[in-house]
This record gives sequence, structure tokens and C-alpha cells, in this order.
Amino acid sequence: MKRRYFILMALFMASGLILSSCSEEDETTLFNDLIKKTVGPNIVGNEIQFAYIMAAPYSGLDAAYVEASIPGANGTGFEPYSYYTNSSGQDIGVTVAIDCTTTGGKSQAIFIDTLAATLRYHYIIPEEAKGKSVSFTFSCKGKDGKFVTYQVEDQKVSKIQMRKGIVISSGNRCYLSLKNMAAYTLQEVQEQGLTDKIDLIYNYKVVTGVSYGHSFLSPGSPSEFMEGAVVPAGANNISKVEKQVYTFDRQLVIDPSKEPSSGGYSFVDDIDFDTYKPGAALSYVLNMARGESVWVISADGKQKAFVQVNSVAAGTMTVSLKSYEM
Amino acid sequence: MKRHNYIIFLLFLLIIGSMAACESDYPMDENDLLITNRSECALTSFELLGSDHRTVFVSAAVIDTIAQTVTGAVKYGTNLAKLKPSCGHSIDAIITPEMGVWTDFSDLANPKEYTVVSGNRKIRKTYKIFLTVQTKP
Repeated sequence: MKRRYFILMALFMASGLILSSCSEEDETTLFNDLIKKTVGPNIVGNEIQFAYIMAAPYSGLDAAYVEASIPGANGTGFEPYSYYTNSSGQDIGVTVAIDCTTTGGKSQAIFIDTLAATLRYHYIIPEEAKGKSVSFTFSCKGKDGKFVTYQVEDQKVSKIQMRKGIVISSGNRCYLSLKNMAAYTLQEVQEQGLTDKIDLIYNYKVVTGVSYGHSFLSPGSPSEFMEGAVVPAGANNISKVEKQVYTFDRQLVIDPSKEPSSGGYSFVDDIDFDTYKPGAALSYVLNMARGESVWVISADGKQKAFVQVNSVAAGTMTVSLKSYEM
Repeated sequence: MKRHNYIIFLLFLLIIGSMAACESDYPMDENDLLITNRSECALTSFELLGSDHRTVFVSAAVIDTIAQTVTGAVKYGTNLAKLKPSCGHSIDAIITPEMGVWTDFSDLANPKEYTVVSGNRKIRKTYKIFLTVQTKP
């Protein structure tokens, strides 16, 4: 009797163990997780990149999906690769998916034959998302038909507009419009009737005894600082300009190896434009150099811009800017 | 037992005495800064920064502690209406009005004044800041 009781107890304990281990396996057949790779403000024309992590260790992965509340611009979708980092620190892509398609706000990738993968999803921010929030729902399907989803926190899209690599040259393409984010020649200003849209004039001159060099002037700046700069007839805007030295916007950098970043990079965001008050700023700045930048406020106060100097040479300069309508 | 109580009582008195001494050594001013015994009262350096937080002086400002003046030439094109002053001064002294804030120096005919107050708060020396703007030769 005693021996029978002992056997029954052992069987009971063994079945209990089997049951508990089975239930754990059921819960772990499909995993997903997500990392947002891009940092800084979400600006129209730029991308928001996510790395979507999936694993189905028993059944294998069938497909990955994402739905954006506002359809992305051209170029939005999954990459077909899962990346690993080699010994040199480079990301090496391995093709794990076929049929990566995007229709409207929905993107998908169909897996070839894999148990686990991390796919990169690129969302190119469209014009219609400016100033709004975009939500993303990622989901993954296993070959056994099970689904998991991952809801991303809403992504606020900035009101900032950005343009990089504007080449300006003194005495030629030197008339900058903040609203248009473009540089014009004198002829273009006159032909296109842009005199009231010119906020800054780029001028380069070596003046003996003082630091002048690469300067930004308003059309209405005092004549003693114009140093031969030609003001288009009728242009008289007096913008407020203020030099910054230790603010290096990462999104405005063209070549990180050539542009100084002492003190580290930062991002000029909507809140910076909203809170920046120039106080008693002048209508000009003198002696600009590579890596420096200026805050500019248009004469009517409706447009603010952050202009960063990417490179300089005698009489010419490459700038990138963020512009913000107040 | 009696002797033991006596020692404890003496220690107690000693602690109370030292605490009271600490409190009365250096009183605090209205900004919670120590008022010390020091009577030195001088500016030792003076700096003006522009909006880019770089110096606007062509060369270091000259301080005359006898005449109580600071004289300096600022670079061509400097925005005199928005400059941030800072300085060095004698130990424990304070400066009034406050430095480190954007200040308008554009009225060159009426130079700004800053007063150094010694550590014991008994000596005050007011310095006038005379600026000139670099011109094209």
C-alpha cells in the first residue's frame, strides 16, 4: 500500500512538472521588440528609422507588417536585410525577406526562411505630416499563423523646414531668402521680384586692420558695414542676426569629418525656435567661419532660421539651414 | 560614578561652546555669502563676451586699481547693446550690480559702473568701464 502511494505521488509530481513546462513554451513562440534608430527632430523630407526585432524559434517567421497613420513619402518601407556587425564595426546585410512593398500607409516584408530577424523600416516624412503626429503599428506573423504587434509611441513631426548644401558666393549668388531657403543672384532677385524676400546678403572682403571676412548683412544694414555689397534696388529688410559658436546642429552637417563639433553635436528643435528671443541683436554679423552659425529673424518677425556654415573658401561658402515660420 | 558624570557634563559644555563659536565666526549676507575679515577690495580681471560667448576685446582690458577704471577696445562691429560681463576680484569680495547677464554698454558717454565690496563688507570701490570701438584704419 505504501509503495503504491509513493508511485502515485511520483506520477502526480511528474505530470505537474510536464504541464508547467508546456505552458511556458506556448507563451514564447513569437517575440517582437522595437528600437527607434533616428534621433533629433522629425523633419519633412528626413526619415524616421526603426529596427523591428522578431523571433519565432519554433515555427519560423512568415511576414512583418507596419501601418503608419499618415502614408510616408517615396522611399518608405522595409529593407529586406537583417544586419550583423563584422569585426571592423561595419553593418553587413543578409537578405532574409522578399517582396518588401508599401501601399499607402501599409508596408510589408515576406520572409524567405528564417527563425529570427531584425528588419529596418524607413519612414520618409511627407509634407502632409508637418506639425502633426504619426503613429506606427508594427506586427509580425509566424508560420503557425500567430500574430504579435508593437504599438509605437506617436511621433511628433516638426514644423521646421530644412535645406542642406546651399552654395553662396560673394557678389554673385549671395542673396538669401529664409522663407524660400534659397540663394539668388542679383539678376534673379530682380527678374523674379524677390526684393522684399531677401533677408541676408553674403559678403566677403579682407579689410585691413579689422576682422570682416565672411559676413552676413541685412539689405538695410548700416552702409559702413556693407563693404561694397550691392543691395538690390528696393530691398531694405532689416533682419536680426546673431552669431552662435558652440551650437553644432547634427542634421545640418554635410561632412562630419571636416566640420568641427567641439562640445558635441546638438539638434535645433521646434522649442528652440519658439523660445529664442534675440533681444538687442544687430542686423549683421562679421567674420564667420566654418562650423559657426547664426540665428536670423526676418524683418517682419514671421520667419526664423538657424544657418550653419559647412565650409568656407575665399569669396564662397556652403551653408545649411533650418527655417521656421512663426 | 560621580567623577564619570562630571566628565560627561564637561564634554557636553565643550560641544555646546564650540557650536556657538562656529555660528558667530562668519555671519552671512543677504545672498547667503560669508562675511569674512578680509578688507581687500579690487578688480583683478574684466571680460566682455558677445552673443557667441567669445571675448569682444581686441586685447585684454586694462584695470587701473588706483583710478578705479577698466579700459578696453572692442572689436569692429561689436554689438555693444548685448554683452555679458564677468570679472575676477579679491578673495571673498562681491560685485554689484550682478555680472554674467546680458547688459547694454552702448552708451559710451555714460560708462557702466561696477562696485567691488570687500569680504568684510566695509570697503566699497566703484570701477568705471570705459570702452572704445575698433575702427578701420
